[in-house]
Parts: sequence; structure tokens; C-alpha cells
Amino acid sequence: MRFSAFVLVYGAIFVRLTLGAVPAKTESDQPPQTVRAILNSNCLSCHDQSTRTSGFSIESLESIMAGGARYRPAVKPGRPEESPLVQILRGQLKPRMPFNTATSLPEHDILAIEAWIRELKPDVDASAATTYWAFKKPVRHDPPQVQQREWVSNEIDNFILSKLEANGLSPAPEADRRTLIRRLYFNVIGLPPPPEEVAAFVKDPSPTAYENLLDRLLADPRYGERWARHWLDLARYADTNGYEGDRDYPHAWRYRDYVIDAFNHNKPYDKFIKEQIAGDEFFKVTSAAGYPPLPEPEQAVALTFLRLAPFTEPRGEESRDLLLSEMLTTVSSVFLGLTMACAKCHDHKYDPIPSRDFYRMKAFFATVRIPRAKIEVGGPLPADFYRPGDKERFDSKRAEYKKRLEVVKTDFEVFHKPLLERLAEVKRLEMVNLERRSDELALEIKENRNKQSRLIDLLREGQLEAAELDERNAELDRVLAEQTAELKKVTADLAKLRPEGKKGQGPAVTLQDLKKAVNDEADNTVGFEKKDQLFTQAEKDQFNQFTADILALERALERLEPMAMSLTNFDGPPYAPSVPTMYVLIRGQHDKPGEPVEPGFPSAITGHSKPAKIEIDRYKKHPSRNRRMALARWIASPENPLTARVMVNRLWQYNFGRGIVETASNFGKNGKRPSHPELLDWLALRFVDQEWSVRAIQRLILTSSTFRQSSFRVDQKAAEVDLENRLLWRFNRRRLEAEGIRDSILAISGRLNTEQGGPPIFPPLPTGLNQFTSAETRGAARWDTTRGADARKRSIYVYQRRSQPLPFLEVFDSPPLTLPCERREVSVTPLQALAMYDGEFVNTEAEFFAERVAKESGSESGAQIRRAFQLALARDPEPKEVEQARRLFSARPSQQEALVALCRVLFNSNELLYID
Amino acid sequence: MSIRRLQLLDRTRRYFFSQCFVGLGNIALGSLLSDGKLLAGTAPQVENPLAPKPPHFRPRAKRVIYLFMAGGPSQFETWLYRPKLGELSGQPTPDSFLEGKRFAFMESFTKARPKLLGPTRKFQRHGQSGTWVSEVFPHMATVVDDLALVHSVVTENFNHAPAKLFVNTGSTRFGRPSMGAWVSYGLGSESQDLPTFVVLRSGEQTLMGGAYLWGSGFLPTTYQGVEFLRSAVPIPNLASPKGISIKRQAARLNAIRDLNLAHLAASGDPEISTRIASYEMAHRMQTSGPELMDLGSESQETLDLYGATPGESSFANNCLLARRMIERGVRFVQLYHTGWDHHGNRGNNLNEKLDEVALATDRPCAALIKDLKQRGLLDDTLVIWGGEFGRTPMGEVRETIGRNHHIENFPMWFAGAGVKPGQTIGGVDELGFFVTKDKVEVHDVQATILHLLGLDHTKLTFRYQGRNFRLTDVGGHLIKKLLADSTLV
Repeated sequence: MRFSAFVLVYGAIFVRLTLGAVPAKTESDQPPQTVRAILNSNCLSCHDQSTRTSGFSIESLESIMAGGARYRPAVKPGRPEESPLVQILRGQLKPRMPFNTATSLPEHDILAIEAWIRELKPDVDASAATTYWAFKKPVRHDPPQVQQREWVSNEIDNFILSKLEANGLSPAPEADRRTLIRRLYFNVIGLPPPPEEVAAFVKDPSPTAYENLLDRLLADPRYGERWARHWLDLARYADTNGYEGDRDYPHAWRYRDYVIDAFNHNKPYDKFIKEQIAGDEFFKVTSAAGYPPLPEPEQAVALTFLRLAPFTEPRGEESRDLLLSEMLTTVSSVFLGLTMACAKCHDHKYDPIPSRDFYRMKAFFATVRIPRAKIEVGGPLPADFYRPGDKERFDSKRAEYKKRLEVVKTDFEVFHKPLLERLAEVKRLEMVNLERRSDELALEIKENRNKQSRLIDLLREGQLEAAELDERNAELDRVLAEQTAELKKVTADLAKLRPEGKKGQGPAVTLQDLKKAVNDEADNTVGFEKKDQLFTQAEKDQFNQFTADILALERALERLEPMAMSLTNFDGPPYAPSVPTMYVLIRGQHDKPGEPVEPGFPSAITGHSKPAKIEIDRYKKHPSRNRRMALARWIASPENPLTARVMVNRLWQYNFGRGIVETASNFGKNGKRPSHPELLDWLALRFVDQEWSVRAIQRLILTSSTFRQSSFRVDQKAAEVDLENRLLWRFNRRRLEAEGIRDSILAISGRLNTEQGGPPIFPPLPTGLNQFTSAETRGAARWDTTRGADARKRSIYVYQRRSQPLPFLEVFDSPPLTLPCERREVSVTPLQALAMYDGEFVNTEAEFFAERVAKESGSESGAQIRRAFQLALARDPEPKEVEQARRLFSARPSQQEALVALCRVLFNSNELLYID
Repeated sequence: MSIRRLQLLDRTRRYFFSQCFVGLGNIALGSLLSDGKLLAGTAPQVENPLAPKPPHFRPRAKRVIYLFMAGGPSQFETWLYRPKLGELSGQPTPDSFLEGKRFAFMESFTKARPKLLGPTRKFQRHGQSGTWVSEVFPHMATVVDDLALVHSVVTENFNHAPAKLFVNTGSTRFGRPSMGAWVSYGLGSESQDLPTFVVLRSGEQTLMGGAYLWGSGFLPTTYQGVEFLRSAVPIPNLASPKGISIKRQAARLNAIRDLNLAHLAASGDPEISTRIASYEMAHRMQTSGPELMDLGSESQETLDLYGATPGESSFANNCLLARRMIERGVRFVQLYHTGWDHHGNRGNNLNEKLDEVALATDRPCAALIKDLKQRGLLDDTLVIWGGEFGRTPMGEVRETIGRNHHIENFPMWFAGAGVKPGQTIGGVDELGFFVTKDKVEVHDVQATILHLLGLDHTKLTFRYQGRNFRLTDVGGHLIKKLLADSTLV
């Protein structure tokens, strides 16, 4: 009860008066000037937006309506006498306000306030729970009428154009075909168009040339590789855990392939959601006996989504709390555009999310069980290879690796055997020495003890003065102490040499000892001399190369096991005592449980805080199951006001560079308002109507005239009205993302390896970083550099190592890999220039690019220049550019060299980096 | 034309001329930009994110050198003299100190009650201030009067990576910007040809936490620390490709510029002009980077002072490099030296391994202070020394006796700009378990560093995921005793 009241009042805060999302008549509900003045002069010092004493602020109508922590709604429209605001001012409620003053406000002031409240319409705070636009279901709007009707390709254009027209603006002309094909290629498949495609498209007389091209691209499997990357950003996808040691997630890559498939197969978004949150709960329990069936492999893989957070070593309750909280905050920001993290410690300051709701939501994850493993990050669960061809492909890869591993191991055996013998021999000698020394010491100690005991006899016999006795006794003490200490050390050293402790037996030397001896002089065997000369540097290097090769192969094999980074549920009764109870944690502290909570949805959206219905199987066999499925069903429901809106907004953002709601993962009050709320609703409803077909929305967006506008538009007036182009009076020029840059370079040089799917690749690191990372990798995530064509697969396949991403991608703002990333940064730094201009990767590819140009265009320099421009920029060079390029040619000793130079220059051109 | 737009245009233009084309002499571009038509109708979303920005108030420090001792140096062997702990060495730890407290690797305690371990080094008083310093720091002992030593820093997490993240980013979890990134975001860059936040590493052990310790978190990546590598090429890709002469390089850069100017002319997009400028800066870095890293120009006297050897990779070299960097306008230099994690295994014992790491860092730290002082740089340079946590008063039994992680107190020292020197802050009980006076939280340290740089830690915020974040999260109080001029507080 308490919480529904809470929601009611907090909901009212979200009435926005200025941005058009709310009926205009509330304008007239604003306190009149007189009332405003009374409130300001008497209350503001304690109740402004920042002080908010007792949670009460007078700064807006909404906050007044909402009231403070104690009495909640401060105003009851139409009923001043029941309004706490008045009651407090009259001293009928404690504490009387203004606080700490001798008297109440003058009667005429209170009367003025009462008069205002009496005039308020009762509906101002009605249906408060759904007042905030994003928590209300989308409203079906007809596409508005527009004047420039011939411009409209589909309904999107109606919405965009009508707003432009309302602002006295017009859309930009359509971009030329060369620009369009390039834009479409990058947007849809993330690669540059081949020159032949450009030429064909430019000439294509068909009225549906554009649509034909688009449909071809949407059906291209490279579409999934491009669009999965967007989703992986949201999923904070990485191949390592980030914390201590940055440990490997050997099976995370299967999730990446799952996402690629989801886009390529146009998996309905509602199913996509359910699989990632509750892939293990799709089964139906059909009998009272036995365990539930394993999930479909694909659905087991989908659950990786919940496990991709950076993960630190478990410390009982605390880390479990962190783990589950992270799952919840990620799910809510990715699918719902709700920032719930704030509510972990306190009621959300901006959105109507009480802390209790955080824990009610978290309770959906209460039964999650992460498979155990030796290492901290948790283990995998079985999941067969299900993608067509994968099983055969990876089985044969495994067989190949196994064979190679055997060969390497045999070679290593042959190589290290003499080394082991050498070490054993040295240790044996060392042991003999130590044993001899040990015997010597024992004897000496015995003698000295005898001497000491004889001293007293000498004194008695009068052969010794008392003073001298003391002196000699002390001297013997000192010597004995030294000898005993040495013996202790020798004995300890001996014990290390022959752990079994038998005298005379040769020391046991293991491969581990050898490894230590090779790599760590300090950890070498005990004190023999010249140990650093025991092995040559070449031997040491070779030894380490062998161990690295073996480790790399073993890890490659591990990655190819049919496993997934999945999860499951704890057993409930009768197999286990009970389903865990979840509590509100006071101020977010894991060891301060408050009231117990049941799983439930955010009250701000549902309007109530009743527990969610969890459908347990009819035999009540698995009471710990189906919690996550209940959550997933609620999220993936057409009734949910956020889900469809949030997703279509993301699709919009990835196509236009900015969402209709600019803060794509925050639809809350602190996010940005939608620039085109009716369009957002229209798209969301269309999305659901089309059975959550992502591709249908994509197609709609990409066929709109809005999308086809030119980005080269200079319009003084438009800039005056809408500098940031929120109304879309032209297309937004965008820089390619890091992956697009690397992939483009490889595609242009003709060396892109188009093989899809499979374990991650490790492209070579730049000089300087190389050795350094290998030194970093003691037992942790390694960079087992991939050689050959495998290293030139698309960037989505690059190993995402949290402690050190591939520098070329990092420098171009690859995502931070720690939290969901809804929008990439675009920075411009000298380090980018260095990477493009001097980096090994780009320069190597420039040489192959030149080779390709020469092969495809012959030996004439004019033809070469043209071909190079076509490949890199999808256009012919301008006469001036030909002239500049020729200057480059004339300055070089050889044409080959000149061509390489031109190719480097083209790789460094802006045009290549930007989608116009 | 709205005022806001005028401001934007003005800022953009000012930035172009003041920042981008210094030394470029690009008349063509200049005239392009002065043509109002070109800029009109463009959205100047791009302003130089590293343009110098005014601080919130008058700064005492213009730059920072942060000597990060990674692994958690033992206070009992360095700065905190606890004779009583020596007296009770070998005795079981009193109950009152263990109850309700959590220590790292607790399982090693459950086998047997941990025994106290007295200081394993001798201490003496030094300087006018009479500060106790252990024998492992003979050189630091000569500069104690320039330091403000804080005994009473406490932290939250006893694992390396989270604890390091906490000191550097104010949070034990990934994803927050580092202190240097915040400073770059708040103040911009003074350097035309070097990054403003540079990181150097030394030491043989793995640095837990890695690049996140100087990452930009949710701030734009422009603000992240740039690590200068321990190799002939301090920044990846800094060297020209093999076989390409400077002259050709320049010719090619011209060709690139021509091509890109055409694109700029067609689009009028300021982001593109920034990109053109970034090539100029990169080009300058190719000269300034190697020049910076080359210690050959330093006098033998200076090299000896630090114990630096040109061409080597060491903490001593890094300290000297740090001075060279701040002389060239780098604002925030962070040096990480690993090897302070003295649990008591052979490779990290409290005996010669501690001596080694102390030896490697003692002289260079002291040299840095002396050198900065004699060059007049210490007045506006803040030097900081510290790790991620301290170590236990109890011994930890491994191959030898070492010490475990301890979060209830650890030492830091501060020297230079705005710091009141020759003082010791903070009290710790006589066994060295807990702070008894002037407790300093990590967020307090961060607030104070920002303060000395002229930044109010509560105002240096960045909006992310719907709320304002700051380095000090919801904490942070100035360490007033530390400040030379507390009237500024």
C-alpha cells in the first residue's frame, strides 16, 4: 500500500510541462504569481531542488504535487483543507511550517494558496503511475499530412517532414548514387562497396535500384557481422574477466556467433530477449520424474549474455550480490532503457524507482547458478555445435590441433630431456656437496659441544681462569650458533632437493623445476653457483617457445570444446532446502538485509507492486525455475511500454548516428526527450505488428527519403533553427567505427579473410607492445598471436581482452568492454594519425593494396591512380587529384614505390574514414 | 544568429587558429575557415577537447607526478615505526584486533592464529622534522623535511586490482575514469606536441588492473593516459616505417592534407579539420617523443643523482623522464613500479626482495625531489608517493615470513606545490592495526589532489547514464592539515 502511494506521487513528478509530452492544460495549473512568490520567499531556502529537505521541493508543480517524505502528496487538487501543504502551514500537521519561526504565515498568504489548490483540477495527479511518457504505452498516431508530398517514400518521412515544415525547413536533396551505395554498404554490412558494384548501381536504370541493392545487402551474411557488433557493445562482450589476472572466458565467442546468427536469421526480437535472459527455461516439464531436459544448445549459448560482466573472485554473499545486481542493471538498461543502478542504494533520484523495486527485480535472478570451475570466473556448460557446418569444421580443427600438440609435445620431450639431465646432474652435485657439508657441520657441532662441556673440567682442574672460561664459552656459543644456523639452512635446502628425504638418493627434478631454473634465477634450486650459465640464452628461448606453443594449442583446444558460458538454476526443494529469499539491502550493503521481497516488476510501469506470477511446472518439481522467464516474458511483451521503443530507437541511432531519444539506454527522466515522439511510437507499434522483425524496421528506415538525404548541405537558415540537426534536415556525416576502419583497410587491400564465425583471432600487436604483453600474461589471458590469413578476419572476431584491447581498435574508440556501451565515442587524436600513418598494419596493407591495384589496372600510372581511388573511395579521382597523385609518382624512383605511397595516402584520407 | 551559436562558432574558430595550425602556416585552410559561408550550416560539435580550460580557482599545483608503488608497500618496513610491535613480535595477535575484521587470504589465518611480526628493519629519526625513516630509504631520509607524510590512509578492498582501481578511479569496479583522465578533462592540455597524461611502468611483476588504471572510463578516450612503452618506440607507431625518409614523409603528409582539405571544403565539417590538425600534432610527436625519451642530453651529474642510465628501462630513468615531461608541458605523469607485494614467498619475500625494490626506488624518488627543487619546479609540481594498501602487523607464513594485505592504514607522502612540508599526519595504534587519528579516505586524497590543481572535486563532474559522476563518488574531504595555505580552503 505504502508503495503504491509512493508511485502515485512520484509518477506525478514526471509530468513535463515544457516539452509537449503532456496535455497543455496543466499549464494553467501552475501556481499563480502570488502563490509562487509566497512559496519562494518562505520555503525556498530549505526546499529547492538541491536542498529538498525531507524530500520536498517547491521548484515545480510536479514536485509540490509529489510532496515530501512524510506526508507524500502535498496537494490534493480541489481540496485545500485535506492538502498537507495547507495543514502544515496551519499547524494541523507537524512540524508547522515555516520551521523555526514564531508565527505562521499571514492568513492572506495561506488563503491565496488555498484558493489556488481549490481551482486545481482533480485529474492533475490522476493515473500518475503512467503519466511519464515512456511508462505509457505507445499511442497510435496517423502519419501527419505534409505539403511536399512527392518527397515522402514511407511513413517515416511524413513524421520527419511535417516537423521540418512546421519549423519552416525543407529536407536536403537526395545524395548522389555513389554516396548512397557507400552509405548503404557501410550501414548494412560494414564494408566498402567494390568499384564494379558502384558502377553498376550508378548506371542502374531501374526505379527500384536502391531497394534492390538494399534487399541484397540485408540478405548478405555480412549484415549479421556488422549489426552483431552493435549488440555486443550493449552486451559488454569481452573474452576475459578483467580483474586479477584478466582471465580467459574460453567459450564467450559462441555468444558472438549467436548474435551474428540472430541478425542474419532475423530472429524475432521478443525471442532474442527471452533466449538471452531465460534460454534455459524454455522447456516444458511433462512428467513428474527426472531432471528437466538440457536447453537447446543455441539457447544455452544465448545465456552468455548474463555472464559477460567483468568478474572478480567470489567472496561469498558480496560477490553474489554484485553478480546478480549487474545482471539486473544490464538487463534493464539494455532492454528497457532504465537506469536502475542508482536504486541499489537509495530510491532513484530522478525516476520513480524505489530501492525496493531494485530488489524485487533482482529477485528474478535469485536462483541463478553459475557452473563451478577451478578458476574464479566460473565454468561452462555443455552446448553442442549447432550452426550448420560448425560441428564438422571444429571437430576437424580439434583433430588437427591435437595432432599438432602431440608433435610439439614430442619435440619438446626430445628437446628438454638433456636439459633436465643437466639440471639433475647439477642438483646431484649440489646435493652431494650439501650432504658433505651437513656431515661436516654435524661433526663440528658435536666437537664444539664437547669442548664446551670440557671447559668446566678445565676450570676445576685449575687449568683455566674464570674470566677466560667465560670468554671461551661465549666464543663457542657464537660459533655454535653460526654452525647450527648453517646446518638448519643446509638441512632445509637438502629437504628441498630430495623431498622424499632419503639420504643418498638422487634429487627428483621435474619439468616444473626446469621451468623455474630457466626463467627465474631467484626461484632456482638452492645456491649452486653459475646457475645462470647452466642454460644458454638460445636454450632458454627455445624452452619458453615450446611452453608457449603448447599452452596456445591447449587453449585453442579448450575453446573448441562444445561448451558454452551458460548458466542454470539452483535446485529448489525437494533437492535443496529452499528457494533463496531475497531482501532489500539497506543502502546497498550486502550484509545489511532489510525486508524480504518477492520478484516483481517496476511499480512505476505496472502501477502496482504485487509479486509477479511465476509459473511453476504443474508437478511443482522445479520451484526455483521460471523466474527469469517471467521477467523475460514481461519485457518481451507488446504491453511493455519501453521494450519496443527502446529497440527501434537503437536501430534508428545506428542508422542515423543519433537516436530519436538521444540517450538510447536511458529513457528515464534524466535522459533526453524524444525529438519525434509520435514517430517513435509509430515505429514501436509497427515493430510489434511486424512480429518484432528487426529487419522490417531496418528496411523501413533505410528506404525512407529521410535516410537518403545528402550530408553535404549548407543551409544558413536550417543551422539557425536547428544547429544540431535534430530535425534531420540533412544526413549526419559519421566516422566509421574502429572495426569498420580495420575491415575497410583489409577489404581495400583485397586481403580480408571472409571466413565467418569461430574462435577469436589475435592479430599481431604493434612493436613494443608485443613482448610487453607476453610478460604480462603469467597464467592469465594471453595474446597467442594469430599468423597468416586467420589474423585478417573481420574485427568482430578479434579477441576482446579487457586489460589490453587491440591497440588499433582501441585508438579509434572501441568500446570500453566493462559496461554496456550504447553509443561509441568519436575522438580525434594524434595517436590515430600515428596508427594510420606509421602503423605496421596500415603500411603492410598499403603494400598489398598497391599490388592489387597494379594487378587489376595494368602498368599505366593514370589507370592505377583511377583504380586506387575507386577501390578506396568508391569514386574516380578529380582532375586536380590526378595531378597531385602524378606529382607523387614523379617524385619517386620507381612506379611501384609511388603507387604504395599513393595507397598510403588514400588510407589516410578522411573520405575513407567517414560515411558522407 | 543566436548567442549560443555565435559562441560555438567563435570557440570553434578560435580553437582552429590557436591550437590546430600552429606551425602549419596553412593559408588555404585559414581562408576557407574565415569564409563565413563554410562554417554556417555546420554543427560545430567538435571543439578541441584538450584545449586548456580554466581551473575552478587559483591552483597551487600546475602538474602532478604520481609515484605509484604497486603491490602495497609495507608500512612497517618503510615509514611507520612501531617499536611496540617489535616487543610483541612472535606473539599471537590479540583478539581485539581480529574480531569482526576481514583480511585477505583469511584461510591462511585459520590454520593457526597469526603471530605479530615486528619491524624487520631499523628506524632512525631524520631531518629537522625528526621523521622516523627505515634504513631501506637512506636517500629519502635526506629529504624528509620536504615531505608531508600521511600514515593514516585507509582503503576499501584488499585485492590488488580493485584496490588499485579505487585509488586511481575512486571506485573498486571497472568503468570509471582515472584521476589523470579527470584532470585532463578538467584542465585540458598545455602541451602542443605531447599527451597531457602519460604513464610509465617499471618493475618485473604484473601490474594488476592494467590499462584501466589510467583509462578514461566513460569520459571521451581523448583523456585517457598514454603509456610510453619500455622500448625504442615509446608510443606505438611513433617511428616512421622502415626505409622512409623524413623528406618523403613530409611529402606524403602534404598529399594527405591536400586530399583531406578537399573533403573539408566540400563538407565544412569542423571534425574533419580537427582531424587534419591531428596529423600535424602526430608529426610533431614524432620529433618530440624520441627527443623526450633520450636521456643522453642530461648531465652526468643529473644521471648520477637519479642513478639513471641512458638506454635502460628502470624506475630511475622513469623518474628523470617524468621531470623532462613536466618541463615539456605534460600535466599528469604517473609512474608505476611493481614488486611491493611482500607476502613472503621466495620471489616476494620481506628480506632481499624488499631491499631490491627499495633500492630501485629510494634514490630516484629522492633525486626527483632534489632535482625539482633545484630547478624551481617543486613550487608548482605536486609529487605523490603511495601504493594501493598497506600490510598486516601480523606475519604471514609462506616460504618465509612476510606480510599480508592490510586496508586499515597505509602510508603516502606528498611533496611540492601547496603541500606543507616537514610534517607527519595521522595516528595509528601502537601495534599498527588501525588509525587512531586523522583518518584519511582514498576519496580525501583524490579531493585534495584535485584541490591543489585548482579543481573542486564536487564540481568536476560528468553526466553519464543519467547522472553526474565525479572522481570522489559521494565522498571526499580535503586533508586540510596537508595544505600549506589552508586559508584557500
